[in-house]
Amino acid sequence: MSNTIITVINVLLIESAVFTLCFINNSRRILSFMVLLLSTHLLFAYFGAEFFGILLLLLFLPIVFVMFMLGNMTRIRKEKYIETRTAVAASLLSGVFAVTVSILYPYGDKKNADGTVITAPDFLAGLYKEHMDLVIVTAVLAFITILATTVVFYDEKKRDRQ
Amino acid sequence: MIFDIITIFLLIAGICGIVNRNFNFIGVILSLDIMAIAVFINLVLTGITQNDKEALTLAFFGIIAAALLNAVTTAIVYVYFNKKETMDIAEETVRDT
Repeated sequence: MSNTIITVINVLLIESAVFTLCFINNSRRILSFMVLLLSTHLLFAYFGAEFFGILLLLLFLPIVFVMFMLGNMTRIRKEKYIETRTAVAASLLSGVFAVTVSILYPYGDKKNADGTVITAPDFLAGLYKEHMDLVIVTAVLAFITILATTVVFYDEKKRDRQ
Repeated sequence: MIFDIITIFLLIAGICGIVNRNFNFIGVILSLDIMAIAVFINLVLTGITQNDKEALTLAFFGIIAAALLNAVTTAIVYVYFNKKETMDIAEETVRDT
């Protein structure tokens, strides 16, 4: 049963990556990228690390929605499509690859070494105690990112007014 | 073993997306994200299965750094689109210069 679940998750992961590359249409490509994010979350949840999956979704989904908006803005322009035959061949080949690899090298229900689930409070408490330097660096990085994004948009707004 | 194979596959797929000249900025950013997600999958699953706290810590900060990088890149792409009204990289030949 667990082998089947892991096979399905692996196929989802690989197929969504291939679809992200095969679809030249921006909106569809971003939708398949969302499937990649969700299947990654599913994989992490299966192995007892929902915290990382939720973190991935929380941080990436807003950006992906912005990209979706940008993709829709460019949809009015002429879009290039990949040949259907190539896309179907790539999907089928990657599907066969994913199933074969999952059956040949099953991971089974080998979850945590201790069999425990990683919870956010425990992990963050350990992080705060042992890696305070990294926490400070990340906070500074986040501040610089907010500053940089604001400067980029502010310059753009200023140019529009002129 | 299986997750090493999946990581390698996703990394190769990301590289293919980056070098594809038909792709616009969105495609290149999504390809970069695919590569980043491949690394996170490997780090998190290594950390969980081998009880390696350092790998999990690296994955945690890696996810945050990748998301912050994405935010800045998306802002730059938005401004670029407003200015040039196109997202094609091939037309601008950014990668050739």
